[in-house]
Amino acid sequence: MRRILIPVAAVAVMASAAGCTATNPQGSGTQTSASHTLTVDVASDIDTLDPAVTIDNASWKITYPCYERLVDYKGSSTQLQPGLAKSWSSSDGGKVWTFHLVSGHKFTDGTPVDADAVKFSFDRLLKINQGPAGSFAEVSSVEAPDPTTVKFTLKSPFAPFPSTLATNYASIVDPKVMSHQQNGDMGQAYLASHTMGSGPYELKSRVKGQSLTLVTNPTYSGSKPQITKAVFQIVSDPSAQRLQLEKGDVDVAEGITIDQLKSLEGESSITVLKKPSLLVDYIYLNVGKGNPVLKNTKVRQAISYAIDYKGLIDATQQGQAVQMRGPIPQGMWGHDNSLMQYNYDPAKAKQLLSEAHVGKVPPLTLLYSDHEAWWPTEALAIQANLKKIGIPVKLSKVEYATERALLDKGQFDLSLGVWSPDYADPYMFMNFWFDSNNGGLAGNRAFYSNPQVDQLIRQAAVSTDQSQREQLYQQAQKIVVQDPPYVYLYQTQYMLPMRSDVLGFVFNPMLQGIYNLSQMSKA
Amino acid sequence: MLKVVWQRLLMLVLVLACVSIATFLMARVVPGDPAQVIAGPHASHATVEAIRHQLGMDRPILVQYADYMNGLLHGDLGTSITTRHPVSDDLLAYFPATLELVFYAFVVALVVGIPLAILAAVKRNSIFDYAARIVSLAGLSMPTFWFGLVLILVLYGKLGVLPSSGRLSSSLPPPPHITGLYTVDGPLTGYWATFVDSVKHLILPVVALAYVQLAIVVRQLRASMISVLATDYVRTARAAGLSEWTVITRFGLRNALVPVLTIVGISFGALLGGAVVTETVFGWPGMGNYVVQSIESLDFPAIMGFTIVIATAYVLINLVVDLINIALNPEIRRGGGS
Repeated sequence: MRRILIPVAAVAVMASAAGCTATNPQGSGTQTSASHTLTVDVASDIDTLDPAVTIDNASWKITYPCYERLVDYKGSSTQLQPGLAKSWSSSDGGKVWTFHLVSGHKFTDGTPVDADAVKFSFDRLLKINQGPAGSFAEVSSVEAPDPTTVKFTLKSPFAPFPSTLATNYASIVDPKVMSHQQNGDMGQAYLASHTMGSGPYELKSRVKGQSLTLVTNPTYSGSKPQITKAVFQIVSDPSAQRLQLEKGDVDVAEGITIDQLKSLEGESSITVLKKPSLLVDYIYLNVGKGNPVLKNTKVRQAISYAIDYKGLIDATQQGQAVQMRGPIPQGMWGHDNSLMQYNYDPAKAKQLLSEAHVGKVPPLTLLYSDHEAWWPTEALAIQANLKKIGIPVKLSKVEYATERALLDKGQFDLSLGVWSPDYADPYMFMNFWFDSNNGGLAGNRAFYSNPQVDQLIRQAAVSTDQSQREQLYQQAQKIVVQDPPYVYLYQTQYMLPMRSDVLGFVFNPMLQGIYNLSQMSKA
Repeated sequence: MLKVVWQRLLMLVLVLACVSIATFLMARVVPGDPAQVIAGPHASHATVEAIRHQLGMDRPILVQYADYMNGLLHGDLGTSITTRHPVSDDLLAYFPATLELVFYAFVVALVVGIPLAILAAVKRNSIFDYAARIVSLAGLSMPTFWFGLVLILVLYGKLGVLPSSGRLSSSLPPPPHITGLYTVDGPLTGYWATFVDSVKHLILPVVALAYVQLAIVVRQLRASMISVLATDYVRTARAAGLSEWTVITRFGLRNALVPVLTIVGISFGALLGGAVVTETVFGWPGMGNYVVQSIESLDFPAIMGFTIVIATAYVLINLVVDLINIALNPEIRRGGGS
């Protein structure tokens, strides 16, 4: 007995000693944000920081300020401006793209950023061949004829190419990363927790599951940022985030739920930023592999008229979203504001259903998961909407990974989905969603096939004349709205609460969740 | 006693073999493809296939299993598909956090719960007994997340005396890794500020987690004590003139603890797998959040590594509980029935 009680007693003494220390705090346990430090609460930890590997924009918020790219987005717009490249041009009918680099940019170790580094970064990206490589599938070769010239040769003309270079994937990495190579991984293990770029910041520390800290890069060629340190701390609980923001212990809290944001709006010390995002929420109608009734255009139109769009937005987004008008959202060039928009009209839906002559519609499965917090509510609302016009819906809730596998195989009738573009081009919506070669997870999740649409969007993908491309996409949009393989629900609103003394934040819809730290400051 | 140790260690090998096979097969039978998860929502089939090949997932499942076990026998738990770190590195970062939280929570639960339960049993139907029962009932009835949020709201939000989340303030570096327990590594390496800060960060989650365990301990031990104190041998001990303290500790508590320790052992093992709710509310970087993220992204090596570590911990904890029970109960020690 004594043998057992001794360790228990020892632990008790230790614990009480710790308790004494704790109840007698030496200074505050919470961190006060200094005027040059920006502290951001994020909801979850990141996966890897290697720009050639990560497809998660939670990681991009760390990497984007640490690397530079050939081109950048201009302010809050989706237009491009020079980055590491001061100019660029295309030749050979859009197959060859030549970029001329500015001089004087350096990686954090002082190595100059030259054409060889650009070539290395893209060669590495393509060799690693993970998710990010998909955006550069058209790249055949990259050459560096001289230190300030980079030449990309594509397999076929690809008009959106320059906009792919503004993405996080196209970050220029210091070739010295190869000195950290393990088992032929081209430095993936090292870059998972380090940065090796030439951007205004670099990663100072990463404590797994707790925080990531950025500090300014001493070799950065641009003007010195006012925010010299940015701390991203992982706080999963929305209520804890809210308390920290209200107390001023953090400057920005990303994980606060919409309903809590509403009550924060009245506080003078907090500003809730609201901007339309390019994240769209829609329903896939499985035309190709789902229930045969979905092949009937009138059935699909009936479903589109059966949805109570406003009610859905109120129920799932607390009213903070805009109904879509066709597949290309507002804020992306190619959006057509004169396009026909479906409205909530159950009578018309019933009429279309009877004109479809499909008899009694069998139960349709609606596939969804918990991937978006609002999906369970949305699924119930859609089920109720469709029941009103006589279409029974069977809800099928699965894990996200399972949902994706079923989507890829086409084993569903209806499914909830979200989409946001990787690069600022309508190609990301039109060609991904409607090209008959893209069936399944690759983008055309309705397994839709329309030769006329195929022809229009494929032509738009290779033309280097933007006005012609816009015209082609608008023609294609008219068809896919009248012959809807998707129910175009809404584009969400991006809402971000921050302390009112945070200045200079510019929201770019292509960089959602990413901070323009080097232009920001605190009053 | 040595026989029990050997038996349990042999069982550990069998458990690990079964667990590894079951987890490996289950992880691959469920629909969902990690290659698709890491390739991203817009990836082409070619990209997904290339990733599947890189991960070796296009090989026969038996070859994959043999390869994994070969690595495991050489101490290699594989590389996480999502974090690109060796799984052992990830587990070394997250497991000590959970261990530290759960360990202190149980210390508090036992240190407070055992005297409370004894008092309640000895002074049955007194004010102490009612108080202990109310405290215990409240602990079992209150959702952990709600209690956690109340603690945060009062002690962080209103009074500002304790931090609300995390294991350490972001302004402080973690101590050099020895055990991974900040409250141990801090003093060992002279990181005193870190030690103090980590203790402050521990208080709220430990209290939240300890309260539920304390409720279980009080409820079980009180009932167990009451029945033991009513036995003939206790009456005989009292009749023999032994002091009340001796009767309660030597005859009462010693016997009453056996079933309670078994429950505490199981509960401890279960929480090592991640006190998910507590970890989420307090932003505690432990196993719970890690494994939930791993499951969501179908990170097979991480799921396997986690399962193997937890299975090992379970078997070892059961061994410890058995050894304590043997020490407490002479009947078990002599190999008799219990």
